[in-house]
Amino acid sequence: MLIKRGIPVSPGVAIGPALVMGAESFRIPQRFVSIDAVDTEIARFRTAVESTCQEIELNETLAKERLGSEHAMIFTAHLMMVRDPKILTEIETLIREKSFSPEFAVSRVLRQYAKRFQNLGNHYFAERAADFYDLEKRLLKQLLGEKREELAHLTEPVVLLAHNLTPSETASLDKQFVLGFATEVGGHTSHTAILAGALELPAVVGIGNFLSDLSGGETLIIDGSHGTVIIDPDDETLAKYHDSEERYRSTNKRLESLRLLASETRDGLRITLMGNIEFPEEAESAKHRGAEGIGLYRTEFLYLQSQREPTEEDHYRAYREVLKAFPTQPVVIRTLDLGADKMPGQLQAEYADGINPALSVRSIRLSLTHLELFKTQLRAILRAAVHGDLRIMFPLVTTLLEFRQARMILGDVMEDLDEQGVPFNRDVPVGMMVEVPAAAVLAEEFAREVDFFSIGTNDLIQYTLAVDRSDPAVANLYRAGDPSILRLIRNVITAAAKYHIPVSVCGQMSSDPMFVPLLVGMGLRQLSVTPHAIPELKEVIRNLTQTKAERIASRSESMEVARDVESYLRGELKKICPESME
Amino acid sequence: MSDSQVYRRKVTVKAEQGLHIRPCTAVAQLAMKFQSRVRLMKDTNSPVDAKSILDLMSLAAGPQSELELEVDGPDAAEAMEHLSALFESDFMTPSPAVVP
Repeated sequence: MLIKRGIPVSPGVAIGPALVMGAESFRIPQRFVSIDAVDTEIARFRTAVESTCQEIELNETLAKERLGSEHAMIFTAHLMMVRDPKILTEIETLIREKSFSPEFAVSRVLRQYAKRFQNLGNHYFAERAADFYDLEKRLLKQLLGEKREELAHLTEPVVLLAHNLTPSETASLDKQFVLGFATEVGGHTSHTAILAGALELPAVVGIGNFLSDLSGGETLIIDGSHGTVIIDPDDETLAKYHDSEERYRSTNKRLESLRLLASETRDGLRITLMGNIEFPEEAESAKHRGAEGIGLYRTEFLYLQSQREPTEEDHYRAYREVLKAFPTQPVVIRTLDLGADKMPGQLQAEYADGINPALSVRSIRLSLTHLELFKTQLRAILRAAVHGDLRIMFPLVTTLLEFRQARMILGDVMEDLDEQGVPFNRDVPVGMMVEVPAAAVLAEEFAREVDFFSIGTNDLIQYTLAVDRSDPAVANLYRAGDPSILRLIRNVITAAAKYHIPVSVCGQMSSDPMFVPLLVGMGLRQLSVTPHAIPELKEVIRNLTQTKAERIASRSESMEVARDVESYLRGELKKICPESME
Repeated sequence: MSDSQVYRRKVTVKAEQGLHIRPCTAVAQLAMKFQSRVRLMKDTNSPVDAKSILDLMSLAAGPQSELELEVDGPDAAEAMEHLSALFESDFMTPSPAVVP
């Protein structure tokens, strides 16, 4: 029995045989194949060679067009190397006669060539070794890539292990056969982690190098609640985990039965639960969990997924996809909320040096200083808004002037679209995140001009309490229940009520069941939360009455320190939902 | 086969970096255009297949090294002409598009 620890990113327990996916470093998953599989394996190898040739030909054409035929020559050479009958025969012989897996054979033969050149003693030739490593990588990518595709054709349940999973790979996992997964890299906020939560797959990431200890097929336990991966567990451990797997499943079943029930208190007060999403792919699963719209669509992924800025079409496509899941319900798109330090391309260089990114050029400030970037996104939102109830939300607004400026630019974009005769929705509601204390304090002034508020508690807490949550030395000072936070939220709610604009909370605070009675009691009727928290929050709401919630809120608001507020709320939650999981 | 004579000729590698990957590509590409068997021999080593880029590379023929070109087959004469011209021209012939 071997226990590995990583970062728990999606709760639950998964027990099953391990399926190891090829790593980026192209670890060979299997060295030998059975004799009767030889023909299929050779066919698989030939397909990989063909695809590799096509890939190289494409590079050759591109290089010819862009760099001239002299530079394309290297690809011509690579192509000839891959097609060289000598190499192909050598590899096929190893597969046929020694039952080597194609991956193993490719690696073996190409590395031998590489070594031979390295040993020629002439450095011009020694450098050619790199060409063989490059070819090895290309071929393995084709061979293992195919393996990755096999994920779509699983026939028995497995626990998936990989160096890394791309968000799109994660999104396409078949829940029927993939019980859970664990990866060597990744962190809490990695997109893969967020998607795992959305898919409700128990997952542990950031384990570090552990795949080399495994060959696949071992029994594995993934404990996504505690961040442990147990390889070849003993009987006692296995029994223990089977129990908790069962318990987890029955709790989930109970929550699942809530999905179709209304989100309202016992005395009939409707609380709208919406989803926070990061990828368009999450919209569908948010809906499945009972989200009545998207209260926060973080668009950062569009900027981070490639090294170039997203085009208007990239934005547009993503927004349309979200609208597919929610054709009539509200979908709130938050414009770019990144620091310059996290932006791809040359923007990064502009600001990177030693400045505190949280207090520097980020979010709306970045948009207002890089108008082309901003306008591209706004154009796409306005265009997509023709197809549903899209809304625009500006992040990190600190002063009224900023909001007015942003709105003016939106006006410019509308004018452009008008002139170009491009259809768009002129009546898109424009709101703002309230996440800077300055904006919370001046909520009344803002409320006169904006169409809606959404309180972003994560940043609001960080800026109010002067705590960076990711710094372990001060993380314990980060408290959503701090009276100062409650006071600011109260101020925002009062201002919104005075000017009759909707207000919601979209920070992590609203996804925590213990804060739900408080927020409802303070007057919030809309919460935007992590989609997988929806059933649990609904259960809390359905066990609540308005009077009870208001009593809890006023009691909490009278307390002086965060610790008291939070322990009081925890106690109340237990009374409201005795069955609720801790 | 009427023309089954084996042609042999000494060629010199003029390329500054020897029979490097680009010259190898050029030689193999040209050799493949002919039906004849084309082989290259360095010193007394056993001859290699000039249609295999790997074989050519494994010659590790440095600049100014002397090689023996051996062509054998139906279009041997023509092949010999073109291939030795390629060596003569410092491997520029088949790709006139390449600007030196």
